[in-house]
Amino acid sequence: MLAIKCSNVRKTYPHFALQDVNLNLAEGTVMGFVGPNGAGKSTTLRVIMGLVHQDAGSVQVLGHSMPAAQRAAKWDIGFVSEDMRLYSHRTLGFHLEFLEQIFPKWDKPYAAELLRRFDLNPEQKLKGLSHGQRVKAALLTAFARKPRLLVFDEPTTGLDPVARKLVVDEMMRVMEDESRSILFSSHNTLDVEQISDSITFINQGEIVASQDKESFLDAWRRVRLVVDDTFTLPNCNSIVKTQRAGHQMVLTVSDYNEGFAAHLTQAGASVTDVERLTLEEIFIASVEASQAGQHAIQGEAA
Amino acid sequence: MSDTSPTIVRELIKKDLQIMKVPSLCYWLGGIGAILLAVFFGDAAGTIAFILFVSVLFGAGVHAAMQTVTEERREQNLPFIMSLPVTISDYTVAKMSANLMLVGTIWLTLSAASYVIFIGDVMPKGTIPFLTIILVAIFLAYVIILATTVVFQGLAPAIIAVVAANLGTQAYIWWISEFHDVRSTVNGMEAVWNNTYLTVIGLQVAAVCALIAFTFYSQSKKTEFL
Repeated sequence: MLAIKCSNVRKTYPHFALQDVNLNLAEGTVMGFVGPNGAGKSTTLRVIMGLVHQDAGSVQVLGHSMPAAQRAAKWDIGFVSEDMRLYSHRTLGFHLEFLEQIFPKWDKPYAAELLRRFDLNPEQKLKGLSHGQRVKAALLTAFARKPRLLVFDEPTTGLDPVARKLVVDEMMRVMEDESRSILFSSHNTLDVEQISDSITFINQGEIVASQDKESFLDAWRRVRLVVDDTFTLPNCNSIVKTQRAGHQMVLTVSDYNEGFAAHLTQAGASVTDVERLTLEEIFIASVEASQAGQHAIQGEAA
Repeated sequence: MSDTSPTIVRELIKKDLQIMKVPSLCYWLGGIGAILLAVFFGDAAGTIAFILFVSVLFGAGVHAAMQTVTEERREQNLPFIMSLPVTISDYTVAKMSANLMLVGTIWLTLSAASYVIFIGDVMPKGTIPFLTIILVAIFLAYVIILATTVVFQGLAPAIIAVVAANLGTQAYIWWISEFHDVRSTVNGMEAVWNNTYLTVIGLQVAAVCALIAFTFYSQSKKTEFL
């Protein structure tokens, strides 16, 4: 079953457009949603939350059609965005009591446990908290609702490494319950790599790749070659980037397989090294390829 | 607006009432102070009392609308509220209800209390219909400000609405005071509810209702809320 299903979603603004966004999040999984600034991550998440109405396409969240059934869906969604602030002149306790009145599933002991774990004082006004504490407070208000789906827009941005680990650990703890799902956007590919089951890259309003994490990491390689002056690179769709300095050549490959190196050797190159890429490197290469107008990745965007 | 969630709307209203509890009490006490000033110091402090009274009513409305709507957006609390199981309709019902309850209570109680100045001979009773027009006009000005803040959300439209409502109300009251039916009765010893008074008050009440309806209509057409 799918927790989120976006089909051909479009949203057009004067200077930006989401274009045919297809995004599926399976129940019980974590999806990292990665893209550069202005790529359309926040807009997509707002469409998923029903806060921005799509111009075309359909959005189903936990079986509810968005935005029409957003109230029904949001009972089971915990949403935190980077631009979300709690009431600065009120205490964290005020917010917790407010939410407790609204959510029947509000888990008070769990909220108390999170207060302790996140080192937050419920008596303190939000205006007295540091940025990291405010982010943790906002996340606490989402976690303690015990939602089936967590949607986080840049949840770890601006957090120090210790606070970031706390948040990531809590997200992993949430996933011990296999019926729960998380969709989170982030610039931090380390966090994404750590906890995601699947990864979606978005750039300039388009999904450029969407695959499970292992497929991503397995498919991408950096291939180092030594070539002579007469060497001509064979035409191959999976070569995303080529760098050459004298007789040294470096290829970034999006769909690597065993036959690829043999193919290069047959063409006259000497393969000196084949390296795996980090998620950050894959992300950058994907974006560069996308910006160059290439369909670099043949991932399952649907 | 039948498509709303009463439980959540009630909690949203309670939240806004709690946030505005202390300022509202201050405005209410200010209004009572102005009335007492007029009652006990009569002509000597009449103008000051009137200015204070009108300022309190106007200030309460501006403060409530700005704090509960404009500030909520400016301080980026709106994503938190909209993460709850609410729709734009729920939000609008909650905002309008909380504001109208809050300012309406202050306006109603202070307006009712202000008629105390007509006990005895402090003020000619012929002023009662004109005072009623002024009081309803102040409420209308408040609803203009509230509708603008809810529909446009931004600080700039809110400030424009406050300035326009303030200046517009003064000009409007001066204009009404020049009506023959008003001038001929306002200083009389008895209140005369002639057609002019009733029509003006009726139109003001209709404008209040139309603005509230317009606010709900505009909100229902929004496709983007953050």
